[in-house]
Amino acid sequence: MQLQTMLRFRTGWAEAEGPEHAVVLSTRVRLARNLRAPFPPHLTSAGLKRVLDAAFAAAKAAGLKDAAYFKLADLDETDRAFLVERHLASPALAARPASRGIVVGESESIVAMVNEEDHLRLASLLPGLRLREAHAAVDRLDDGLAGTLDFAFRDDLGYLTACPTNLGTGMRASCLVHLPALAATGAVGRLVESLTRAGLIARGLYGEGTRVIGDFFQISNATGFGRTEGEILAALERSVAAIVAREKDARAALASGAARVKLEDEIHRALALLGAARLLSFEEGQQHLSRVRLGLALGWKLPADLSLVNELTLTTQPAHLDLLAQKVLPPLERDALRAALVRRRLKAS
Amino acid sequence: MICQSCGQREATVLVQTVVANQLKKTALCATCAGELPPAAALDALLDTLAHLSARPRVHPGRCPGCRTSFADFRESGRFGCPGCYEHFLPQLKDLLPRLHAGAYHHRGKTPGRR
Repeated sequence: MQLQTMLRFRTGWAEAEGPEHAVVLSTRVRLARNLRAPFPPHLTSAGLKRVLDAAFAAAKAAGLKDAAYFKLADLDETDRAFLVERHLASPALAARPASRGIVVGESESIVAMVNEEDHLRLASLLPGLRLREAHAAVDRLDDGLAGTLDFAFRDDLGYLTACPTNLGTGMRASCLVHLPALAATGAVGRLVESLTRAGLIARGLYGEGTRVIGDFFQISNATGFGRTEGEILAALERSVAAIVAREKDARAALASGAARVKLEDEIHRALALLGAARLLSFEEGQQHLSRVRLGLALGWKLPADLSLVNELTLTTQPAHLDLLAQKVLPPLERDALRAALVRRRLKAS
Repeated sequence: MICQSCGQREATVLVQTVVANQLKKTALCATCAGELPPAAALDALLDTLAHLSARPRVHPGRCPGCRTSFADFRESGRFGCPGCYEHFLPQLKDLLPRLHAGAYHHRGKTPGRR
């Protein structure tokens, strides 16, 4: 367990700041890039190692001198799970650590995954709805790396990727949105359907094919081929802005008239439970934190703030708690530590 | 909740799959979820590939660079190397517009050009 120091720093993308942060927790823009060599699943271990070394050297040359460089094989399972919970590594990367690596820049706002499905997956993560800013940051890193690395590219097809769904710009831009009101009114299912028809993908907090506990959804572009980066970002921004408006309307409806006392009851019960529980499961914690986050986003006076709720949403995940305890905890002890951490942080606020 | 796959680690992901018209929910830890193929976009690709005619008019053979066959690609949805795009270009010309909302040509960033 080497990553304890990272526990002490607040991750940049979970700060409660940036446009529309009451609904949009964070923005992520990633670029898939490959060298002119077999894709990672087809590389020998020596080939994977050559790519990892070349990528780390290129990142240093590109100005990521002060970044943290991790070889996943040097980390234990808890450390790797921590990086997944922190959104710095994908579950697929963590599952196959040999000759896989990540480079993590300042405030965890920029990250490069090496030898996932593609040789490089570059990503910028920022709090709030900041698609253009996030793209500009990852685009700069891409330019920097292209100074030393020769990326596989064709004029007609764009950047070449292991899976043709990522072909072209290699870009997937996404916003992590908190939709408790649309989930409560049952409108979220219809929303996901309409997003799919509009060429977007909606999925859970932890990545593809999953559903989130805690009303967080990731909205991203489905295709990055045939349109420019600017066009893709503009279309996504319009859709996310529309979702934000609908969530805000739904929140206002839940917080007015006869419905208000019901929501107040729910949120204060959630807060009371978080402040008193001696055992808190991951799912229960996330659900109640989601309620409190909703109350705070509505501007209600509650003994907490959005930054703290964002922080607890992140730090009460299993591997974060194991890292805090410096051992792999049995489930009951982990639930006890989670409850103690939440009580202590809420009390301090 | 404990992961329903390894039975050891805490589950943080709820995966929904449709099996025989029944919605099945499986709670998994991040490690076991990582073993799953990514869904969504890949599902759509594999679905498209499954509906391509089983026998291409001209058999494309294997990519000379990495020995990937078109059958390998149809099964996994992944190519083996950048050279596969060159080798399987005739097959791709049909596939790309179906995957990418009708698009057949890259627009957007070109390395070294602004």
